[in-house]
Amino acid sequence: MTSAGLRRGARVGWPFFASSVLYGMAFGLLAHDMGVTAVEAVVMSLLVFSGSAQIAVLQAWASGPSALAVFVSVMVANLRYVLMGATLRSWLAPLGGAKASLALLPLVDSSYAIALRARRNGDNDAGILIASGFASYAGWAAGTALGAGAGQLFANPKAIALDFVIVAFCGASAAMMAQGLKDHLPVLVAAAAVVLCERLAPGPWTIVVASLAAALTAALRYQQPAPSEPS
Amino acid sequence: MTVSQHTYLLIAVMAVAAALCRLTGFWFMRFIPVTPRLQAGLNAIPLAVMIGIILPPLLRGGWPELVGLLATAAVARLFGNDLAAIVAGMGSVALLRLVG
Repeated sequence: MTSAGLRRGARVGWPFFASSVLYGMAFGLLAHDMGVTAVEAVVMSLLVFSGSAQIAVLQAWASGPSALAVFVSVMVANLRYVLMGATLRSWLAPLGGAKASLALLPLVDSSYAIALRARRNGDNDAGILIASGFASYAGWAAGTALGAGAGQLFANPKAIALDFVIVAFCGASAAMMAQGLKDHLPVLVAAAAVVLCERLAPGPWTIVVASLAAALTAALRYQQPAPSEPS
Repeated sequence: MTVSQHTYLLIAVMAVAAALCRLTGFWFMRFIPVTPRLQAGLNAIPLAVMIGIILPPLLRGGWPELVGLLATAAVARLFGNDLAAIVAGMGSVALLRLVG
């Protein structure tokens, strides 16, 4: 991890700072509507940093959810990070356990996609993952404060297609990763798994189901490289 | 327990759950010997995660998202600039949502 890597991560990550501010505002407004104070909402965003999980919990807020129900819904919404963390092991292990853990705390979909692209381009600096994750983290917390404080000033982030930022970025990343792919079956299995999940039981586990299906396919199809001929 | 204390208890529970998810994958892999077969499986995950993020909005949203993704790809291919590509994609999705 170098300061140059941190700067590169911040440069690539800043669009996600901007989109996180606006999503944070939408979340802050929801918190305000649910009777959560601005301070509580900001503390939640700082400690949890998970848009989908926080929105899911707050939407059930009025019904007085139990601690167990809250725990389970946050785990389910964030299960994909377990798989992302597993794939980042070889990259972050040289930092040592404590630093690697700190680097993983701001992990988010966008910083994962950014880190994957950097690694593909031969850039193995962990600063990219940290700084681009922190850009989203700072935006999310700042947006929460604005939304919870400002009340009804802000409309719907979907109208200006903010939800599309991550889709577009991951689309570009996927196109890049698919170049030079030897075996396309795991990708097709992943896509089929997503379609199936959407039909049967849409939810935050879609990414987990798709990833496990692809990983299983790739592992089963793995063939030991043929031993080279003695020359 | 007061209402506020209860709120902070729930926030603490959420924070633990989120941190567990972010850290367990990394720590778990410490105790698992990574065979070439397991590595092949792990290698398939990143692209599958991307598919899992892109595909649901396309399936749900339909053609504004599809057109937006095509616009993103076109600008990325023509100008080689990520930010311009994302802005182009956002612009077309916002416009189509406005019209549609």
